[in-house]
Amino acid sequence: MQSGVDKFLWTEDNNILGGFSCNVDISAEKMLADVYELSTYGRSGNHKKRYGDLPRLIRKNVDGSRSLHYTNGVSFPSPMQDRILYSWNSWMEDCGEDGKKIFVVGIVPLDRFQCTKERFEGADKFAKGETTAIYLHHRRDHADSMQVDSYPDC
Amino acid sequence: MHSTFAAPSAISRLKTKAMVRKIPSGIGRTKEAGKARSGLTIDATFASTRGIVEAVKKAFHNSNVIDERIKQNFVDIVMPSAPPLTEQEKGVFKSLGGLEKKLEAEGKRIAEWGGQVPLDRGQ
Repeated sequence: MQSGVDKFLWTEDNNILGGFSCNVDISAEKMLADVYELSTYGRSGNHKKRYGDLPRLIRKNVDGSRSLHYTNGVSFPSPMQDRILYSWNSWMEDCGEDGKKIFVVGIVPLDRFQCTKERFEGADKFAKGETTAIYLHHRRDHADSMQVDSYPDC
Repeated sequence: MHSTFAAPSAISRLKTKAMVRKIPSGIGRTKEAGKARSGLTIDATFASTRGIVEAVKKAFHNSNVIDERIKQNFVDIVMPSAPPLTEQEKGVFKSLGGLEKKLEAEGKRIAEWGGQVPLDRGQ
């Protein structure tokens, strides 16, 4: 991390949305891998540490595509119930206004799309949450990562 | 009859004690190992084996190295050979296009713990 993290918040209807921007000293490709590659020991360990035995499922290459389906349980302070988030994650390469490459990671609720869906046993016990996010990785003199994230159901 | 029955048990107990003592300090010093020393031979063997396996796991557990390799594999192999975006995937990115603009238009800067100097964006 080359400097502090700039954080932003705003509201829209009943939703609270947040975003951040920061500069990191690694390549945009590596940053993309860091955000998109979920099946690592580090990520799994963090989930276990924060949310204990709440479920965490990753389904890669959905229907032969580059996307993945991610199901994860998230706990909140009482009296809020634990939530289960079903999301569709995908990435793409694009060109910025300056002509340089941008890597974009998109995360949307799975229910918005018609596709093969996988549910796990006991899913009915949890309240359902939704998450929508976009990460933009700009390749500059140094990589610049920006995320816009929302938790509409929380 | 009684003495021939007791002898193998005593021998195995002796062997177990010897095995437990050969293990380096810190390994096998579990509750089960403690019980084993008092004569429960199967428990002792199990505890010793478990201690050794745990020590081996600790010595060879290189999760950080493996994570780095997974990410490098993503950059070197997965990214170049990724299938083209499907119509649905394009729809995902289209639906998210507005978020960045909303951030720039409506995002309010929240206080920075590290005393970050505000950029031209935010308030």
